Amino acid sequence: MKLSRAALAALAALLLACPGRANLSVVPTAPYDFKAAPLSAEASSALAFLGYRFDEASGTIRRPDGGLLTRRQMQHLLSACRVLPGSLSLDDRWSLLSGGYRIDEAKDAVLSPATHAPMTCLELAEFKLYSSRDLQQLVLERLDALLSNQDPDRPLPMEDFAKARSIARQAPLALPPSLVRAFSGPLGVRPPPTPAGIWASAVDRAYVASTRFWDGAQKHLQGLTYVSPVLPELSSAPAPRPYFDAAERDAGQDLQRAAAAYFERWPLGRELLGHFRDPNGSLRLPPFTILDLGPADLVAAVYNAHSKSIMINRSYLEKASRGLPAGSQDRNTAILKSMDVTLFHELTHAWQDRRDGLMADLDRGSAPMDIYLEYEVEAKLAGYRFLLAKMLADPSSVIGHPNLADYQKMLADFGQWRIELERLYLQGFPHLAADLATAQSIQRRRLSVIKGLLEENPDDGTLRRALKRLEEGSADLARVSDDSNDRLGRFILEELPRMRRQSYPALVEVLVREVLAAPRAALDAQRLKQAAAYADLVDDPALHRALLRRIAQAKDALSQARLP
Amino acid sequence: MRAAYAAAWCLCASLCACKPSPIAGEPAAAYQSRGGLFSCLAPARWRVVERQGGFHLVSFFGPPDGPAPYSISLSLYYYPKTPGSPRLERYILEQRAAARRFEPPRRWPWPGGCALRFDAWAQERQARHETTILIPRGGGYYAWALSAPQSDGAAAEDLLRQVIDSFRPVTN
Repeated sequence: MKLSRAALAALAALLLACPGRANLSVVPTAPYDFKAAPLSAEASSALAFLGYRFDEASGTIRRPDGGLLTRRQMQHLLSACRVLPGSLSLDDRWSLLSGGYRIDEAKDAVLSPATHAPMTCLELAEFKLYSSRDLQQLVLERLDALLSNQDPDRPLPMEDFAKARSIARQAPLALPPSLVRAFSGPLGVRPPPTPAGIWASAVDRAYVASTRFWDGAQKHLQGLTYVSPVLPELSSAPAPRPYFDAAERDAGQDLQRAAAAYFERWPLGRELLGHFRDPNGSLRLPPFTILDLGPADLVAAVYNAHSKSIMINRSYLEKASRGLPAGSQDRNTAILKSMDVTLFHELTHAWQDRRDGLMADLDRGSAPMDIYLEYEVEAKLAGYRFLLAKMLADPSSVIGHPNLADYQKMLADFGQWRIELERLYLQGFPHLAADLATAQSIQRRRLSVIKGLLEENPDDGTLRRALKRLEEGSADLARVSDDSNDRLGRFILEELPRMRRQSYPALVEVLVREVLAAPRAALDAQRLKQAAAYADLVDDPALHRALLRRIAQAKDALSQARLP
Repeated sequence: MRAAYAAAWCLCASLCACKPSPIAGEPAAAYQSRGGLFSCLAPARWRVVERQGGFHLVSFFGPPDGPAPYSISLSLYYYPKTPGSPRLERYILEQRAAARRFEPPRRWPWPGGCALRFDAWAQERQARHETTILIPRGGGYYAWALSAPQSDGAAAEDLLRQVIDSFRPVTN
């Protein structure tokens, strides 16, 4: 795929702004001569990827903006890149961490997983461009699917214009310039009168070009295709190592062992751990890595399907461990009590990955999108089963639990809870998250693009393999979609009514204990009213009476405590 | 009574023939449900999802732009009078139980007949506010559920009023 001039200019500016550290011993403004000072194959390839052009006759290199690359600029490109705290976007930070890179805040550097050396400016620019192309592909795919369903002779309806605009704004560099202009007008304007077919055709061309890039790429796909059985020439790259160094491994394994011991005490936990036992009965949990993923309230943990590891946010751990000494049992217990439901959720994602193989399809590019809402619903419900088990065993253990309010919402109105979850993902990841039906519709579009390309190039082996890969992805998507519908149907019909029956009396006890443990005059009446509402939802008359007596006793106890 | 109701509908139909006012700062668009069971006006550029399973009919997600894209959802459910569907009183009780703060049901003026409204906050310091409008019909009831950031109070109220005033269920 050819990048737009604007993209190249932006990259060139990024590279030139990147300060180098090496002292210059040569005339800095003289053009770099790659015949006199040959470059490594990796550096040449990276420069070509970034849009630099090599002139074999003169031995010079032209920058993407057309100017000659000087020796000083080359020295900057090849020197360790200084990455100031806060200068990386959250997307770049997560991409780097997922890829095994680590950010050394003390040295203002990004360390490579292979060499542990700081990344050069050239390597970092190459990585960022590669990551952004991944995003561009996703954006083009969503837009292509949307526009190809329109009447080609009529302007886009207002609603679809808004959708297209919201998707396109995630990665404007992916789009042809005419579309960037069309989507960058003032908010709330009517869609331009351009027939939708004109736009669809522009996006289609960009999408097909982008698909060619992904299906033809060799070097940049290697890290992503280690799992691919249908592209043996690309399957030799090793899986990314989950741990950067021994310290990271020791800290991760310590928490992983503590989590396994914690879940082993619960029947549901043992069932979950059972999914990770090999035929000999040995536990093969995904590695845990403790990383700086952002502020504590942003995320506690996330399953990384690429490295098959659970990434845990260091700042969340620090908040949850309340200053207890590192490595102590008390610290691990405090952490696990706070994030047990979250870990159960993330381990469920790891189980989905092993069970279905669909996340490997995502990694290979054989299936579209990144986050499937059905997987999120399944993982959330798995975590909430564990929360219920905890609550039934000891109602005090869930007082103030970060997931309790959402659990109550799920019980009260499952449909609205599901819709709000969809809204949250739409808000946070409009280009990455979708339900399986949307993913299947995008996949059908992908298949038709590849089949169209094959009609033009029937002997192209790469395209034939890509088609086979997509067909495998389609089969996985259909199977997972069917399984997911069955699972959800059973949950709504059988399990949800049972969860409600078990939860309502337990929630009365949680609320009563919460009030008695920490009376707060302004809130106690509200909580006891809430407890009474839960009691009223209990159908068994004897249990209902007992719960009302419990609430009355709590009121009496509070009144006694407040007497002077 | 039936004649009065028909007159109200005629008046409403003639009002609706005029160009509708913008909703939530957006041009209003007419939404017709799949199968033609109901119609309403909605902000034109908002995202629509339909029939997500269970009792769900439609949801509108928006606004598509601005400082907080897709921070509001407005959803419609229909709970028929069948086994497995919560009766109106139980539905309210379940919502009441799940809420840390709750404003009990009260009458809500709606051009098509009687409606009830209640408000809930899942946590004491919850930044989101949920409003539900219940409209009994055909033995069951429709439930409109608005979920919006607390800070959007006036705008969300305006959205709710305009969409639900324009809501026209076909079944009585």
